[in-house]
Amino acid sequence: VTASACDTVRAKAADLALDIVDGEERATLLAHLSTCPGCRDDVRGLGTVIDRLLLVVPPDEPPRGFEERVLARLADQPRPLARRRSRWVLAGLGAAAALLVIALVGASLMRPGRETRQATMVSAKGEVVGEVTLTAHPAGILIAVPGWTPAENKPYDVRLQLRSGSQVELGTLQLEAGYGGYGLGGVEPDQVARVELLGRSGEPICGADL
Amino acid sequence: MHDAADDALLAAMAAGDSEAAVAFVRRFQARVFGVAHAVLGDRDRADDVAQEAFVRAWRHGDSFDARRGSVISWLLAITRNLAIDHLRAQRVRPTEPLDSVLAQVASCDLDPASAAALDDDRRRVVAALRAVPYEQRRAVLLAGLGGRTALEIGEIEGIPLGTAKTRIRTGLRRVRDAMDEHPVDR
Repeated sequence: VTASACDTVRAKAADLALDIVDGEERATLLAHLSTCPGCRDDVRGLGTVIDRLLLVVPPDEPPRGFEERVLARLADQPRPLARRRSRWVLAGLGAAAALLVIALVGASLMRPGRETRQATMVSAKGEVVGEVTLTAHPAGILIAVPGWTPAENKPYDVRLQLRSGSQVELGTLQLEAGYGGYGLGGVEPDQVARVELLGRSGEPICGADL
Repeated sequence: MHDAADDALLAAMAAGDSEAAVAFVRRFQARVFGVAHAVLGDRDRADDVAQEAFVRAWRHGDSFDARRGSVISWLLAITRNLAIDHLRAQRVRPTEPLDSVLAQVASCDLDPASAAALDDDRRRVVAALRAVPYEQRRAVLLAGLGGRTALEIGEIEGIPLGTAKTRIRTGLRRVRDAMDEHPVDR
């Protein structure tokens, strides 16, 4: 991390906090943030300011029946998977994938306070097709969908849904025998709410709620 | 339950307490709908987005971290982000409702009902905005509330792209500095 790199990033920190920068420039900025706590704090601080601006928007009563519609939707939702923490099962994984799991999870567990989260990967048709493991250090995801034909040995785009409601396209993930890993770049692991693999036309083919 | 603190209510809702869910929705629905409507400019679409915001809050409420901000800031940020994603997906750019909000907030000339409804946190945000030049304040609000890009702000305001970027960047940092002088309670 150099001072000039920080100057460049901080000049555009507002754009990043406002989520109005994309493409290669966004990737470059996020790569810097992943290694620079000072710039990360700067962007996070500006993001907090933006969130607080929302406090001045006047309340507006929603249409009649809004409360009932929300409660009906909540009643229809499956219980969030994150509350049904599943235990990762190494048995049956390929050797390389198992080693990758051990490396990711082990590296995470060796740092006190760091979190590893796992969730079931469910296809668009509702089938349970595998699991996703998210680790904080190193910040990454491991996708394991062994035996699920649609995803084996193919590259798929990976999309993250963040707890803020935003979406981040991570890039293309090459699955081998149903396994693949990916770094999170500048995305903070605890902000990841959902991981999805996208089909050719951009539609989610499977996803996991973390 | 209806007197519970915001974070306690969120935690109870996320744990599956249906009474807490009712209280949570009643407490925040006008604020959530207000943001969705201001950004989207359409009550039907705002209804959909506001519903989704509550579903997201329910789904992810157990990971809410009070050290990072208040429940209402978190919930309104979810709403704003969903609304902006919706706008970008639909490629529509309504301006009328947002303009109405901007006009009030940017001029810091709230109508009596809105002014009376301001709590201390909101008063401090308005005070911070008031410390920033009007043109920068508008640019920050167009970008921060409405999700407008610098290019769009340049078109709306009739200014070059570079000027729009400068207004956004300089204005946002000035608002932050002003907020640091008058911190908003979490």
